[in-house]
Amino acid sequence: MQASDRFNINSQLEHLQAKYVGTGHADLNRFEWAVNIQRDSYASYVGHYPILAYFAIAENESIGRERYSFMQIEEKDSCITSMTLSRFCLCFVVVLTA
Amino acid sequence: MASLDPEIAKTQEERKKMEQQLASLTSVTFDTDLYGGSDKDSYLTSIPANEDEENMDAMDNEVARKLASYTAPKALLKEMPGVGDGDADLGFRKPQRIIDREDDYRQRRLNRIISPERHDPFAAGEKTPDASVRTYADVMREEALKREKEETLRAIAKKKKEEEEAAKAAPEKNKESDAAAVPQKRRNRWDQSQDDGAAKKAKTSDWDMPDTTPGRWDATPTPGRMTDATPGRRNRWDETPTPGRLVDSDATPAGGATPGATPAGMTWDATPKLAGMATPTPKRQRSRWDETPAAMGSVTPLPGATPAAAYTPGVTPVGGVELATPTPGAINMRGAITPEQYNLLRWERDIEERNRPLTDEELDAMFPQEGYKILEPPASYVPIRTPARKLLATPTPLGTPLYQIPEENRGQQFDVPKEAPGGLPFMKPEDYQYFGALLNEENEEELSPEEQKERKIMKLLLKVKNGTPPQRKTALRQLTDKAREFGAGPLFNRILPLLMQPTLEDQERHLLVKVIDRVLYKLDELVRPYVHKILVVIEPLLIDEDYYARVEGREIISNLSKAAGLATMIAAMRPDIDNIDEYVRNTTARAFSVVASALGIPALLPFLKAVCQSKKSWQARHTGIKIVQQIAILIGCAVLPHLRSLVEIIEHGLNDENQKVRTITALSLAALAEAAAPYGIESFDSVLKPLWKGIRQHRGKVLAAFLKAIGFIIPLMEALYASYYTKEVMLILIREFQSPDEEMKKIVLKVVKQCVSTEGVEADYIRNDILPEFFRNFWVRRMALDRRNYKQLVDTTVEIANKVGVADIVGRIVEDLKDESEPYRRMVMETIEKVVTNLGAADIDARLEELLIDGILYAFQEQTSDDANVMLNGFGAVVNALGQRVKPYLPQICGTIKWRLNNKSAKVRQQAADLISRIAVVMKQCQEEQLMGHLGVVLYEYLGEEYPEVLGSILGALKSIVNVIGMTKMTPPIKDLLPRLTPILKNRHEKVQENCIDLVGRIADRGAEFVPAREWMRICFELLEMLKAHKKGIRRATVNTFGYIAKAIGPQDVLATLLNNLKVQERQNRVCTTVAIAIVAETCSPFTVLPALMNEYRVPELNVQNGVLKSLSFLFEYIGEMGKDYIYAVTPLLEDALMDRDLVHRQTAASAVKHMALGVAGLGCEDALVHLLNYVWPNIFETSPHVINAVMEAIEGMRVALGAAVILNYCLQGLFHPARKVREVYWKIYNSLYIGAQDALVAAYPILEDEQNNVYSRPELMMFI
Repeated sequence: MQASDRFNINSQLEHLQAKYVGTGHADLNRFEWAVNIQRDSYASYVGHYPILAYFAIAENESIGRERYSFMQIEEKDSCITSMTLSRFCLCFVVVLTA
Repeated sequence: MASLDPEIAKTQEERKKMEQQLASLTSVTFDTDLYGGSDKDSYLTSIPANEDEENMDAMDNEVARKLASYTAPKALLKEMPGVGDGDADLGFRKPQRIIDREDDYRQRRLNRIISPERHDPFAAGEKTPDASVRTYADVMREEALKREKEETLRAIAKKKKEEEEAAKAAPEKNKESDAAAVPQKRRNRWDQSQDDGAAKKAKTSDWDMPDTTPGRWDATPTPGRMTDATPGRRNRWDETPTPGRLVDSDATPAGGATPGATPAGMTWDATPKLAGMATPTPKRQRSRWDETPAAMGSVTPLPGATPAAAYTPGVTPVGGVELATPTPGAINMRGAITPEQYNLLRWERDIEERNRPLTDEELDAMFPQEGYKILEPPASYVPIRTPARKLLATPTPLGTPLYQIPEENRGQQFDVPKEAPGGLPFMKPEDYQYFGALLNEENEEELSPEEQKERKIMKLLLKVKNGTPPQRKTALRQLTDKAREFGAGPLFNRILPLLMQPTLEDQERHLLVKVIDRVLYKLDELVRPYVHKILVVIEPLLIDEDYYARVEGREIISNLSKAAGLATMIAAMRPDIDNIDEYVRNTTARAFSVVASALGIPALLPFLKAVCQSKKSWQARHTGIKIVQQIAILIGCAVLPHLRSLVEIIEHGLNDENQKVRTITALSLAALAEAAAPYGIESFDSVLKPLWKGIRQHRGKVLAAFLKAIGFIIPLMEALYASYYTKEVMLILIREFQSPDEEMKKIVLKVVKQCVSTEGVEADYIRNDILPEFFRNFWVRRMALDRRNYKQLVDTTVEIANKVGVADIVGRIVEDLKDESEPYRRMVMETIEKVVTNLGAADIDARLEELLIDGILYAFQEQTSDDANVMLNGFGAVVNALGQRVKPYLPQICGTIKWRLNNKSAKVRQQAADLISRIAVVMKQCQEEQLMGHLGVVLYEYLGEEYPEVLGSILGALKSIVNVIGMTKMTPPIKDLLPRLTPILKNRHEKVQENCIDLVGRIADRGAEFVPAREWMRICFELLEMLKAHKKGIRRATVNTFGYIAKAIGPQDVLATLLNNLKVQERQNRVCTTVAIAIVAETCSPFTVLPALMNEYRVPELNVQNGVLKSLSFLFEYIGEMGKDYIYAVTPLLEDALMDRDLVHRQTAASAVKHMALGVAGLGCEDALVHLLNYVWPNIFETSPHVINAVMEAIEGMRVALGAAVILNYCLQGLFHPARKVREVYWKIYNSLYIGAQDALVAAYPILEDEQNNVYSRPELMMFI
């Protein structure tokens, strides 16, 4: 960032963005981005009841089971979990310091 | 907007529904006042893009309410040519010297000595401290010694005085001195505190100020502190503040050895000098004299100089560190002299000290004992005591007084300051003392590393102090970065003396304090040995009258305590707690409260407890309790968790043997109760009894303090108890009503107010038991003369009125409206105004009403003073409260007004006009339209008024009449009135402009048809000039008026005028014009304006094209959904603008695209929008902040209109671009997209292939039934 940039709105914008979990930056790699996409997707499925119902019909499962399995997916993938945790902590730090 | 097609209406409907849902979900509600009812205004919820503060202006809300239909972007209306509304003169303010605004008490800071550094037990570990280092024990011992000496001196003086009293057989001898001594004594009791209080009443009451002095003896200076030391007869009147006089009294040489020679003084050598010895000769090198500790330079031990001071002990204490005996009466003069004189004095004293005649002992030591004979001086010889005067005396010519051609000295420097080498900033004469060394062009390499370091620090400090902002900035940074390298000692030894410089200015002090703050942060625990030094310099900031200085001082001390730790802070400040000087104790108490708030109250509690119970000296107890008071004042309601323990710590002070301790305890309780209100009564249980017992026992000042405490505790109680205790205390209060003491009066009033306002106290009780005495004692003329009494009395009476009702209070004072004293009448009027505004006039019966109006008219007519607002407001308030009941009096009132409108004095005319605007509404209520018409005609006749202030008021009065009776009934008719207003629009006075444009705007809005179109066109031209006005309200009113006029006479002509105005040079003017165009477009439908506007874009001139684009941007912002019909028409123009070389073109076009996109979202214009997005997108790499901001906003707008998926697809190409610069920009866009529409992106993310055991694909999305 240039010196002149430091005080203008753009820095504020980036700072603001950095406060949200799931936002990215220039050094984000494919894996990290993919993790974010996954988390967002499952969160979205769980959050929208009609989608859950749709998946339930397609998979011939109960809606509750679907929801439960979506919520467990993160847990299964140990690798992703650890990554996510560290990201979480980082974000917390960012939020706290902001 | 009436002709919206059903489709739009449907979309709006849906959107509104969605918004409601959202609102209920997130429970975010918009302030309809702020954002207006229409939803297009809610777009303003973005991050502020430029430096204008949003919604800071209360005017905005007001106008938004009044003119909900016309809105111009706030950012624009706020924009100012040049610097802006208020701060223009800020840059030109003369630098202020701190000393100029300080009173005597505050100037005592200069008497303090920057103490040498102390032993740091933490750093030393187990080691026994070196003998040369000052440890805590040393300091305490010195303090004890000082105190002892003080006692002894006091005893001696007392004895002397007794002897003198005894010898006072001859009465005439002391007549004069008695007269002088009596006021002096009084002064120490109340008056002194009043002086100090007046300066700092903002924060604390004047009670916590210095008056801990039991008699004049407390003011006795400590050695090294030049307070008024002379006991007995000398008072300030004896000391004429002429320098010569002081010098005379000082000039007698000390009997003892030169202080500097005393070995005990050695520890002082490290101490930097006290400020103030600035020598005006720049060439002077640092001599060994400069090394002399300050205390010696400034406070020469000179006993027995004046006969009056004969019994000031003449012995210089042997071996004491502070060798200085109090200089008689040097201090009181300080208030009267300027810093230059002060400096001069110090300097002169310094010189005298060196040039003083040799004493016999010294001569004996110099000359051999034999071979010399001591001659008697001739009888006529009178020694000249001031060598400085010798210099002025005519020189005795030596030899033949023939003229000689003087040899020219080319190296001489005729007072021109030497150019500072190496690009150093300019030095002021005072600075030579500190920075003089920098002027020696010594070879840097020859210096020792220590000296080099010192030089470096000096250079940096000089740059910070006197340099240009960039110099200052880099110097500050270097100082911070290298702080640990330089070391705490050298840094503080340089910085702190600068802060004691008597000619310091606010700005300089601010900068130096900033340096300390930064350095502290870096040095951390290394500052420990210097804590006391720093405190000596920083503590005075805590009682500075400048709020920011106080805050700064608090910040530094809080940082200092965090860096040094509690133990060091306590060790450093403990000795000052029972210092003999009240000033030191006062500032120390304040500093301690800051430490408490920084490190937490619990940490400090044990220490406080110990101090408050100190058996050794009452001063310690007093200071300890004062610390509690200051803590309460400083941290407010945060004392609540510790309230009980704090009260417990101080409660025994109520029964202390010393009256000052009792007083301060009561005051501290008051502060605690005030801070804790309305909670925490249970913590005060233990002090209730002693307090109530106390008010029966004590008299005078202690009683006042106790009453104050009770006054603050009663509001915390439950209704039942409050009522009981109020009755208890009221007996005493009523007795004290008669007290002649001003301070007591104020406190009694305050306590009455507090008691009365508590719930449990009934109206009957107040009416019967309090009111008669209250009015008899307080409602007297004398009370109106003192500003603070006046305020307090009004407040208390209003509070009582809230309990007992209007009629009682007004009935009692209404007669006084005809009193012969004007200040008293004003006080009555103000009280009536407040009471009536609070409670209305329903209680006032017919008789009282008559008296009231009569009295008010009398008071209004008889007023002579300039401060006329009280009468005006009172009149307005009463008339408005009475409403229709005023009808019978209106003719009389109007008669008065008319008569006064014709008065010779401008003030009176202005006031009469203002009164019309206040009562216009009531006149309408009384159906006195004919009367109003008459007044209108009268006002119309006075439009030729010369004084702009008066003219403004007259226009305001006309406006209020027009508002109330409407356009059709107005006399004079609008068609006559408006042409009369046109020339007035040319007037440059703000008040006139504002009132005039408001009136014109109102007529254009409501009664445009009464005026021919030609006249409106003329007004349009005048209005263009008003777009330049400095006041925002005027510009806003002007722009709105354009809208009204365009609506009235059709847009063509107005538009032509406005478009022409786009060619002018001034940006401000163009900006307002574009807003006006957009408003015209909104009022008269866009199709009437767009063709001409777009045609104007063909003019090959940057300003015009930008103006057109800007108008388009505002236009689309205002018309919202209506934009869907025009988007295809303007797309080619925007295409062109977005491809222009000029940045501003692209920026403005981007913001137009944003508004357009937001307006037409969901209305099926996606094709055009995607097309425009393709033009916007290449601009994402712009670096200019305004442009990139506009582009980002345009993309955000597109996200709303086109959906997040489209933008994501634009984004994907660059998220993993090989060039970091590209990735950064794309991720920024991605992030705002993500924040804006996280959920919507889920469906649009690209399909990623799995890697080994990582599953990236989202198979669920592939499911299909």
